[in-house]
Amino acid sequence: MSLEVAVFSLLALVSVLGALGVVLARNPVHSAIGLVLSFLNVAAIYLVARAEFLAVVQVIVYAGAIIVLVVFVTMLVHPDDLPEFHGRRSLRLVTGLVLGAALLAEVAAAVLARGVRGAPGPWTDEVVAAVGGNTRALGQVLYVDYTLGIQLTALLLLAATIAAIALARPEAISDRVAAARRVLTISLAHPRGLDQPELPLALPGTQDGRVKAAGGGRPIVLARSADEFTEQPAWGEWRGR
Amino acid sequence: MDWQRLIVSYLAGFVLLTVLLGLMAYMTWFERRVLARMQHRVGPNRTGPFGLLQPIADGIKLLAKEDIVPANADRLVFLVAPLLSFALAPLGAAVIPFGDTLQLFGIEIPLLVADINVAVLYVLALGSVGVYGIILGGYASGNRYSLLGALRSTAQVISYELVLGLSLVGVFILSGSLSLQDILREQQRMLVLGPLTLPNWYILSQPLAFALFLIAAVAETNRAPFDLPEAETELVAGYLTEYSGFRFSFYFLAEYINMIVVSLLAATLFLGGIDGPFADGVWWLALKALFFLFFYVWLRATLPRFRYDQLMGLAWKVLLPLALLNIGLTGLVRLWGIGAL
Amino acid sequence: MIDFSQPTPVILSEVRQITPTRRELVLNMGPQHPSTHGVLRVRLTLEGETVIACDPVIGYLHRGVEKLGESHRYAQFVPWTDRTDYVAAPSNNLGYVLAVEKLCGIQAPERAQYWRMIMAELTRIASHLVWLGTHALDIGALSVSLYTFRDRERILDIFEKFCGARLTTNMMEIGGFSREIPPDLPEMVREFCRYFPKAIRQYEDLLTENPIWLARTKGVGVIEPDAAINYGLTGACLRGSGVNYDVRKAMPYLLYDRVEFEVPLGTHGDVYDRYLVRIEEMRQSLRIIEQCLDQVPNDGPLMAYESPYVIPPHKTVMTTAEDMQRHFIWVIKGFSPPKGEVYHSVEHSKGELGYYIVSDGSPIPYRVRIRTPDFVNLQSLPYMAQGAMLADIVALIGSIDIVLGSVDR
Repeated sequence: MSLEVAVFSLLALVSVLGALGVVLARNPVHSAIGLVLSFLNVAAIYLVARAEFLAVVQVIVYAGAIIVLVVFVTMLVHPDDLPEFHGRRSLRLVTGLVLGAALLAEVAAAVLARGVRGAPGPWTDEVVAAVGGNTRALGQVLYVDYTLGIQLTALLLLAATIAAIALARPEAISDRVAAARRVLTISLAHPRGLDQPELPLALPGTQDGRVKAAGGGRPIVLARSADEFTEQPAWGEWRGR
Repeated sequence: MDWQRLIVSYLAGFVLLTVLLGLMAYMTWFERRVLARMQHRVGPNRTGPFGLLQPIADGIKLLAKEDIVPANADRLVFLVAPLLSFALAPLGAAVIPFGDTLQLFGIEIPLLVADINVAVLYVLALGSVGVYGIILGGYASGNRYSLLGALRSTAQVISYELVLGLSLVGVFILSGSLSLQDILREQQRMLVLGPLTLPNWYILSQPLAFALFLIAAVAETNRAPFDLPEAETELVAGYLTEYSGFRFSFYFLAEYINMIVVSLLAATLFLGGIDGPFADGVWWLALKALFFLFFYVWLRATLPRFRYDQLMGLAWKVLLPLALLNIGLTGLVRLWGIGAL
Repeated sequence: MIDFSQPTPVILSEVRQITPTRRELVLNMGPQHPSTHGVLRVRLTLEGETVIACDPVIGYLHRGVEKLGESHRYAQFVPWTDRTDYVAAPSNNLGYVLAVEKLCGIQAPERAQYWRMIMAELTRIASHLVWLGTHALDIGALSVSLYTFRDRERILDIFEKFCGARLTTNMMEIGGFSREIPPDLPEMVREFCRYFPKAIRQYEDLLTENPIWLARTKGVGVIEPDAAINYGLTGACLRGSGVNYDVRKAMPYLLYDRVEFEVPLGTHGDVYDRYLVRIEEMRQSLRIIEQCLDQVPNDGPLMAYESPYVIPPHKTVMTTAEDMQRHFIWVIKGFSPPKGEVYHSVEHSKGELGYYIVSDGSPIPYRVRIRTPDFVNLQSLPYMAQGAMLADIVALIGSIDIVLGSVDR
């Protein structure tokens, strides 16, 4: 058999083994690893079929993004929050077998009926090479012939992204309740204390101290004597500064 | 089946791998010396002249350490995860052109391991699969904090991967190809800007993309100032916590190889790679890549670390819009045919 | 009642379910941790990445210094004060010595006062350099820590020339200084004063306008001025919130009313303001040192020998019988200060350091209580940490500026 067929067989075998691993593994992370293996081998099969752009995109999108998402979900979701299956084991087994058989029948039908289909489409090897390669051909079809489809898909994805962000926003941690009163902080060294009802106006103000721009847009007040004071905003307003 | 080309390719790959591993070892030396000098210290200077044998000493030390596997670790994955990181790291260098063909024993050897026509996408794909080394490493440690650290690190990597890819779209628009050979060829042409005739390096025509690429590359390789997930002074030391000895060194060295590959890539994509005055050659590429490596160390010595949410905010709220803006502008420029190209 | 026969179970971390969608994690940080500046243990309650509650646990460095004060003579206790705040030892010595002098009514001569001020301000700079280095290191600026320690070496060289030791200096004595100042010391200090502004500029270049530093420190760890006063904060933690209280201005000791300097006050009470305040304090300290060097008399007595509580001078001890006897009794038995109690505070680099000494007339104090600034400042950590993110905790601990030797004593 030719090298191509041999390589394809190997890749297909590993791919199937990976898929089996997904189903048979006990640990969800091992399942994910099996699936990654499967996808990587499928990408290699695309390479064998000389569809290099598709191969790379397969790796980036499937192996590199979707399964990462699956792994994230597996690791972040608490075991208690996972959904439970409520049917009996035998029911699950029968359902699985029936659905699996139906899928298999579909695939078999598609494979066997290949000969019934008509001639291959307009994108033969020569046409693709004339355009300048796989990537260019794909780009042309997508962005020239199916522009509307691309735009609509993009809008759909945007909607999904916005929805995901909205759903994932954390609940606001409750802020501390702030009382609103004007606070005048006087020097602690002054013989008069905070309990005095009225402060005489003779206290020196901040104009005696220099205000120096210290960096980062912030000023620093340099006080010369212990009697200067700085006016502070109300308690509630501090946090907003 | 062109067996000759296949074998030549394999041999070239082997040579490249050896060179890359040697470079990686001496990158650690370079970093320690340069960082030390910037911090008013000396760096390793006892092991061999100028401390040149220090990487070998470090390697021996790490090999000799006890191999500790935590009790509730997933043994197989614990083993495989660092190897995955380490194995994927040098693969990116396979598409970097190191020169034109070389005539040896009558055989033409291209100084390029693999000339793929989706070369840059291939490198991005490697980056995508590379996150598994981090995730699986964190998961396999069996430690809740390692897992959380790994997930945060992964989220950082995939966010910046997006910025990385998008920043390169401008380059693709201007060069019309994803292949590094083509991009290199485009950069070897001359750009006429008024009275000046400069080489068409993409740093001149895509300065914003260059800046974005550089920032994203530093974040991708988990280096300062984006190294919060692996910083020692932070609470959770991240996915590396449970790894010791040589397993740890796989991650550590994978990071350095990533740095080298990214530097080579940046040199090829934006600074013209092997292009240089007088004669094209691999030494120009080496010089440019060395500049980027120095820049990496410089950043580490100078800047404080970003907090995690600030890091992610930067990627999604600042860099991504800028990358999209860059794509838009480049598209318009190409549409209106500005610039004598 | 606590059952002391069983070891108390230490829960290092646990997960608590608050509501069906909210989960709290209790996490333990320390006592061995690169960023807790010593053996500080912090128990954090986190919800996701946000800190809900923060509980510092101290005592891992408690050595019973105050209890030792009850069994050592007054002059013997001075080295113990070094070891409380070991990065700013001369200031600790100064506080204790001034308290004892207040108790005994000793007035040290002018020359000694000036040199005490110079050493105290150099200590303030040295302590702030350690603070800046470790704070920057925690936030990730590696090089700043090495630069600050490089400059601190100069100050430690000055200390070594002055008293022979770098870290635990045992510098101040009751009554002044018993040994003559080395003649080249003033020039050495002036040399430092000429060099240091350049170093401060170097640190500011790296940090003050750095967007990453601003993002990590602005708006983080805000404490309102009235909360700061209520917690009893002093030092840069209080002044960062805009409260004008500096012991050197409020209750001047030594000769601080003869030198001109300004007290920096912040306006926002966050980590960034405390950083700016401490940087400015370093500059003001330089100003004080330069003025002291200008004003200090070149010769004159360094010790208040006329007081009966002070050690007699070496020369007369070696030549007269009376002073030799007095010296013997002073060293072996100790001097007996008047009965009474005294509290004296100094402006230590971390805040108000106060010594409360109760004397019962015997050579050994009845009680020595050290009011250390870090111990009190650390109380505000839970308040500042509420609502902060996990990565901010290291910045907060750094900005309070604690040294565990001083917190635990």
